[in-house]
Amino acid sequence: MLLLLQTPIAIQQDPNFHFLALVMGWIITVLIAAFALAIIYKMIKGDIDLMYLIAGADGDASLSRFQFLIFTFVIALGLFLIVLSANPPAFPTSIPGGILALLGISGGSYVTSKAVDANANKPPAPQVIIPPAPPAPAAAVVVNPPPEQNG
Amino acid sequence: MTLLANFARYEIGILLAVFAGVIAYQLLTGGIKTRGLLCEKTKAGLGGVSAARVQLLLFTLAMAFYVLSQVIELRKFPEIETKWLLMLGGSHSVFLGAKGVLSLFSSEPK
Repeated sequence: MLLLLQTPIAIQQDPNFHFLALVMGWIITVLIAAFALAIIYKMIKGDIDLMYLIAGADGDASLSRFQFLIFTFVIALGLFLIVLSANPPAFPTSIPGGILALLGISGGSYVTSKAVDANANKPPAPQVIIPPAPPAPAAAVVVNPPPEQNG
Repeated sequence: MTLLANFARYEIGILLAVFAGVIAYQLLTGGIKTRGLLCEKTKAGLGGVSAARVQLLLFTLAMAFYVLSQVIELRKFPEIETKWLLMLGGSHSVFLGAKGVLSLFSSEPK
């Protein structure tokens, strides 16, 4: 939707295309607003339960999820401000590597934390107990009597 | 087109603000569970407050505040110096290391 806010010169030269872009822009804008309002309405009403938004698998709050949420909001708000501050509104031409590294550290920490949790909750491997081998039967020793010697 | 641009501008601003507001409200009123956010988690349950978690929370809030204030001031994403990224990475490493050690060596049944 933010891409539509940019008005390239080529679009303005063709009035039909300009009208089409305008209609599409309004449709997308209204659709996104409707979806977002529905989600917000359900969040406020309680149909979308946010109780476990930052909770881990054990039901307790997870710091890795919380920091991921914070950085997501910070980057989203920052991007919004940057897009709107340009005239006409435009995406930033480049995103510094530091911001990408920041997001990478945050996301990587979240994924690693999930892996640690999954490993900790894994049930122990079943122990295979091999019964001791039964004692071998006693070998019967048959001693043949020596043959009788005649004479 | 100007009307559409203005409409979209206000729409996204309001939506982002409402999303953030709803989540902040739920966090403050208990609608989003925050129990155990700063506590050690052993197999026996929640432990005491963990220093590794507290320092990670402080670093996270500081970095978030820094990035947001720089964006408001400069109207562009700031260049973050490598030393600050290393510090944040170290902070996360301490947190993950403490968590991994606890999950490995706390042997009490859950």
